[in-house]
Order: sequence, then structure tokens, then C-alpha cells
Amino acid sequence: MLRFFLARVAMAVPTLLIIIALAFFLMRLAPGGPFDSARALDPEIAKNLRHIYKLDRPLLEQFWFYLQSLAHGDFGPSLHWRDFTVNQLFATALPISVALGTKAMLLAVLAGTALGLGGAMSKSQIGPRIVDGAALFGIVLPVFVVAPLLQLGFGLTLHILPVGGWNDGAWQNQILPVITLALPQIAIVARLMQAALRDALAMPHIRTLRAFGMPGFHIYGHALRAAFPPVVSYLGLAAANVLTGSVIVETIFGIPGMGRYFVDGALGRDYTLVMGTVVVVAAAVLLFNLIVDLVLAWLDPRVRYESRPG
Amino acid sequence: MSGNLRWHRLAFQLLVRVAAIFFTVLGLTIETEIGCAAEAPALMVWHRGELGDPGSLDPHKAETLIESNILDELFEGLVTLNARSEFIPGVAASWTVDPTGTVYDFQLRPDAKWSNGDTLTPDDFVFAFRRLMAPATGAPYANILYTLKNAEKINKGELPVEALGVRGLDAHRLEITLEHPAPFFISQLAHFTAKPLHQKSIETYGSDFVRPEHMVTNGPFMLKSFTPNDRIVLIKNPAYYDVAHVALDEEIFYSLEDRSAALRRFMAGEIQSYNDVPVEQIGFVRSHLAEAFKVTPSLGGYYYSFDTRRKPFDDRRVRQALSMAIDREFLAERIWGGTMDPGYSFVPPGIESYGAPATVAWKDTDLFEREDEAKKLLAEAGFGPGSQKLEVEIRFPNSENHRATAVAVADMWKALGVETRLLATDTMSHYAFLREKPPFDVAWWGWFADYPDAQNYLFLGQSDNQGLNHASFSNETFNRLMQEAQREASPERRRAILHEAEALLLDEQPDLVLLTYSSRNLVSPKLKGWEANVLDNHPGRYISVAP
Repeated sequence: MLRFFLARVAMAVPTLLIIIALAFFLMRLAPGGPFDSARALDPEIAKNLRHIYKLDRPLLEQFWFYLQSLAHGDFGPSLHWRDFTVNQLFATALPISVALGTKAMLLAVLAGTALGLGGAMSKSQIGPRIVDGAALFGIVLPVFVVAPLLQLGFGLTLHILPVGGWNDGAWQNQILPVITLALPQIAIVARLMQAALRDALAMPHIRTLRAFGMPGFHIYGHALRAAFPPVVSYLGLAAANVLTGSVIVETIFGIPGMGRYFVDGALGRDYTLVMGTVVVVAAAVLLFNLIVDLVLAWLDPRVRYESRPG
Repeated sequence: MSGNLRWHRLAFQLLVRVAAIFFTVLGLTIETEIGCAAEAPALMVWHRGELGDPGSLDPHKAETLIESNILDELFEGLVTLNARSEFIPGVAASWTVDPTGTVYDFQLRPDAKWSNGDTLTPDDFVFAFRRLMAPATGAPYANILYTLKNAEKINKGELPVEALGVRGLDAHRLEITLEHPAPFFISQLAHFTAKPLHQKSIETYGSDFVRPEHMVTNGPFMLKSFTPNDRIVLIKNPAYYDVAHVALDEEIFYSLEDRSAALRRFMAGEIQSYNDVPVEQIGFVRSHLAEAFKVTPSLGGYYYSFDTRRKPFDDRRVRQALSMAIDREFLAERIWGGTMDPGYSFVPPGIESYGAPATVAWKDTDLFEREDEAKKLLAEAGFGPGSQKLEVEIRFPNSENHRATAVAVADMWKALGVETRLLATDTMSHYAFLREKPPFDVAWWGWFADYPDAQNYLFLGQSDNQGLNHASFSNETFNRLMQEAQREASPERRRAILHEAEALLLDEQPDLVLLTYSSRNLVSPKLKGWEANVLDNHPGRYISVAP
């Protein structure tokens, strides 16, 4: 197990390096720079600014600088948020995205599992169809439609929740964003869970348990364990995405999370900010992949044996 | 059957527990929240929605109107603006100008103080102006104050900062010497580049002087907190000399890029003002929020530049023809929902010192006649039926409204037999394009003046203004008129010269003026003291909030 873990970590480092290099050079191909604006700067002043931010150095040298400061955990100064370093920006934004994302994923797993379970347990044909239909609805309904509808319903019509804002993380301000983030995940988890459970329930060892007249919770306990791997595989990537922030949800609800930096940074050619978000998201994806592998290995002994060399 | 029942019960219990855990996690802070709310005293707070966040609270790193709005609350220059955007004395109580119009003697208020209690001295201005011009600061807007003696040379590293024409005469007198007479100099002093700075805190904390715990300001408000993409909280500055007349306890700026979401927050009462409205919802806003919706002409122009370096756009007749055929009323009303005005002058109307601007000769001519005239001009230039077909490409930054405008213009040009292609790029690419100036046909740009003076528009046509003269317009007479205006000390003669220059620019049409901007504000009726004005400037000093 330890070898398995170390091998995965060893793979992650070069992957991250390649991603960083790709992002760094691709971004510089985009026309324009961080100091372009409606009011073109005096060429002399622009030159001066590029010098201050070391953007006048050769690109390879800049890349080397960047890797060096990254090795010290320093993402550099933001070129748009000129009063902040990227580290300072992330220090407030990342915990907010993680807090919202964790709640949304928790809700998704619980509600999705419950729905999937309900669908799979239903004896009739209607149960699974309702779950499938609801799930499809949840998947196809885009976030930018759901979020305004929730704002209109709970904020403007019922007046029971704020329309937007973070308000230092007051619980009232978190409910609608969490629901918006969770809805598509609930739908996907419910579908995956239902399908996986139905397969699992048809497996020979479950049939054997039934034949022995085991109690229901025993049977479903075994079935759930067999059904979890595909759901866990999906959840890893979903968690990496949701925990690092969603630009649409954050913009509509006015939440100061990570997602907005990704898009604002790219549109504003804030090179250091974009690089920072790329590193964080890539690291999150790698981390969650690793967690998924470990969980799968724990859930399914076959994974462990197959990965053992020799 | 009983097994199935038990299962349902178990599943239900599981769900209940899960829900309980979930809401516990979600509501951990519920009790403390309610506890705090009950104790809080009733403060007067202006919840102010803005289109985005400031890039910096350092006046020497600022660039945008968003930054300007906040800096005006934090800092006060020698001159400042009142609620109607009229220039009034700020830190300077009074001033005199010598007969050459180049040496200003400012008498500072004796009661001007910094938020930490320090007395504000002329040296604070000397320090700030020198820092603005020092090349190491990298101030993007330093060139606005190139009116100061030796400023340009200092900013380009040719002279030391000590050579700047700003010095303290005694504890309350500041002398400023200019390169040349500039009747607009007093209005420049209200710009964010002309704010004083607290030397000691900058020397102690360096670029971190803008942090809430370090920042020392001299305006009506001081900084309490700044959370990017969330809000900036300002509180009343007790050391401000006119604090007795500042009603607000707090002013909170919210960064709201999503205009539709901002509209919903305004309707829910979470913000009391917002400085934009989604254009596609203008109809709804007009019918449901008529009392709160304020459309006010502002000092911004919406232009299409011709690349006058290239054929056929080097031909005045082609430029005039394309300009004449545009139905500006249609663009303003139908495309922009009445939130823009048709543009017939290069300088937007509304600048007091300039009076009514010059307009294009055909302003009052019927559109059909203009079309006929335009066809004639094009035929003279060698385009039209039986000869060459004119093809034009319009470049613009990608947004719904720019696109709709370009589509409408293309349609209007079609009537002249002109074939138009549209090319949209993202905003930064567009600005980079304008800066690098590769050959093009027609390109969009917009301009809001830094200070309300006609010169701040007309200098866009000077051939030595390479960065902003997008059309690459080069006309000796125009350049000469602009130089004459710069040397002219008499306001009346200067105005006449500038009018002449504008008329020439309109006759040549290197830049096709489509529209002039209006500000679109949502203002809650509870907000008192908010006055519509051409600069769309609304200082919190004059605002109060009705309960």
C-alpha cells in the first residue's frame, strides 16, 4: 500500500511541472498584457512597469524565476490586485471555496446516495424513472439558470434568504450557493448510485445472501460497498472542481472565492494570478485522484492486488 | 413485506441523521450571529454596489473610475468635488495665480489633518507629487500631471525628483509651478493622482501602507477592511475637518460584476445604489423601478476610428460618407435602450468651460439626404455601382452591445453598397491591438475624460499623441491650433481656438463619433443627497440614508 502511494506521488510531481510549463507559455501567447487598458499607457511608463514586474526579461528567465519562487511557496504579486500578493488573495479565497464546496459535496453525496438507494430499492418501475428524470433535470439545468431562479424565489419573493453576498460567511448567505453547487452533483451521484446499485444487487454474492434469508440492511450494506467504486471515481474529480470554486456561482452570488480569480485573471492577463490558480487546481485534481485511488483500494481488494508489482 | 418496511424506516432514519449533521455544519455560527445582531448599534451605512474592485488603493497605482470613486472618499486633494461635481476648495482654502498663469500659491486649511491626528502639511503634497513622478513608482497615470514643471523629464529619468515644480513656502503654503499656462489645472487637482500622501506610513510600510491596519488618509472616510471580490468597508474619519457634516458612519463598496445579480440585490434592498443596469433589462427597470433609475448624460464618447494611414481611409470623403450614413438616433434608442445619446460632436456636451461643442455640418440634415450625399462622396472617391466595391472590417471588443451596434452600423453601410465584416476579440486583446496598431480598417474605442476640459478630448487627435490617437490622424493645422490653445492664457480665446480645432476634427472625421455615454444608476429613494451629474461622481460626504 505504501509503495502504491509513493508511486502515485512520484508520478504527480512531473505531471504538475508539465502543467505549469504549458500554462506559463500558453498564456503568454495570448495577445495583450496586464497593463493594457482602455487608456493606453505612455510607452515610457509601460516600459517602466514591465521592468518593475520583471516582464522585460527573456521568457525562459521569467519561467525560471517563477519556478524558483514557487519552490518557496511564493506565487508572486498579483498584477491586477496590485495591493495583494497571490498568496494573500488565495489565503482568503481558498477557505471560502473549500467551505462551500465541502458542504455542497457532502449534500451531494448524502442526497444523491439517498435518491439512488431509493430508486434502486423501489420494486416498481416508477421509482427508478422518477429518480432518472429528476437527475436528468438536475444535470441539464445550467447553473446560470438555477442560481437566478433561487435568488428570485427565496430572496426576492419569499424574503427568507439574502439574494447574494458573503457577509463573512453567515449561514444564511451560504444556503443558496451550496444548493446551486450541489444540485448537478446530486443528480449525477443519484444516477450513478442507482445504476451501480442495480448492477450490484444482481451480483451472485448478493443473490446468495438473499437466498440465505439475510436481513435487508445486511444485503444493502454489501451491495453499497460493491456499488461505491464508480461513484467514488466520479466524486474525486467533482470534489477537485467544486472545492476550487465555481466562477458562475461565485459571480452570481457575489462570493469572494477562488473561481472568479481563474476567469478574471485570464481575461485581465494577470499572469501570476492565472498561474497560481492553475497550480492550485492542478494540485487539487492530483490530490483527489490520489485519494480516490486509495479509497478504491480500500473498498475493493482487487485494486490493491492488481497494482502490486509481480 | 415487513423487511421492506424496516428498510424504509432505516433509510428514513439515515436521511434524518444525515440532514441533522448537514444543518449542524451549515449552522454552526447561527447563535453567535443572532447574538451579534441584537447588540449592534444602529449605524448609518451606505451599501454601494460598484462594477468591480479597485486594482489598488494606492493613488499612484490606480487607473480606473472604480478606483477613483473610492480614492475620492479616502483622500482629499487641494481641490475636490461637491455632490453636483462642481470643483470646490479641498485641502486648499484659497489660492492665487501669477499673471503668467504658471505659478500657483495655495493656502492650506489650518485644520486639515490625517486620520491618525497628524497635521497635514505642504510637505505631504511635495512628497506625493515627487513619488508620483519618480520612475521607480511606475505610476500609470503620471502623465496627467505633466503640466507640473519638469514632471515629464523627472518621470522619464532625465531629472531628479527634487527638480519638480512643487514646494512648501511655509507651514501652510504650497507653491506649484507649471510648464505652461493650463486653465484646466485646478480641475486636474481633483484627480486621484493629485492626492496628498502620508509620508511616514509609506516610509515605514512601503507598498503595504494601503493595508487597513496601516493606511492613513485625509478624506472624509478611512479604510476599515478590503476583501477582494467581496467588499470594502470605509468608516467616517473623525479627524476630517468637515466631519460634523458627514452623516454616514460607514460606506461599503460591493464588487458586483454581474449586472443582473446586482439588480436583484438592489431590488432586495441589499444594496442602495449600483452604477449600471443590464441593457437587456432596461425595459423592466423603466417600468418597475422608474423612481430609482437615473440616466444622466456623462462625459464619455463612443467612437469608431479609421486607420487614416491606409487607403481608402486616408480619404476624407470616404470617412465622411461612412459617418453620414449612420442613424445615430436608432443606435441610441433601439440598441442602447435610450441610455446613450446620439453623438454629433467630438467633445461630449456638458463641459461648462467649453460651452456647446462644435457639431458635424450635416447634423440636422435628413437621413435620406445624407445617404444620397454619402453615395456621391463615395462615387467621387471611386467606389459605388459600376466601380470598386468598398469593403470594411470593424474590430470591437466582444460584448452584446458592441456587437449589436456593429451589426446595425454594417446594415446602415449596406445601403451605400459597402460590405462590412465584423471582428470581435476579447477586451484585452482589443486594447493590445489598439496599442500595437497593426493596419486595420475601423476599430472601436471609448473615452472618458480624466478632467472635464475640451483639451482632454481634443488631444486625442494630436499627431504626437501616439498612444491614444488610434486613427493615426496627422494634420498640421490641428496640431498648431492645439499648441496655440495650450499657450493661451485667456479662457475666452482658448475656448474659441479649441472650438476651431474640434470643427476641423469633425470635418476630417478620422474618428467617427457614434454616441455619447450616459451614466445609468440605480439609486434607492432612501438615499438622500445623491445628485445626478456629468462626472457621475457621488461623494459619500454628502449622502445620508433615510431609515
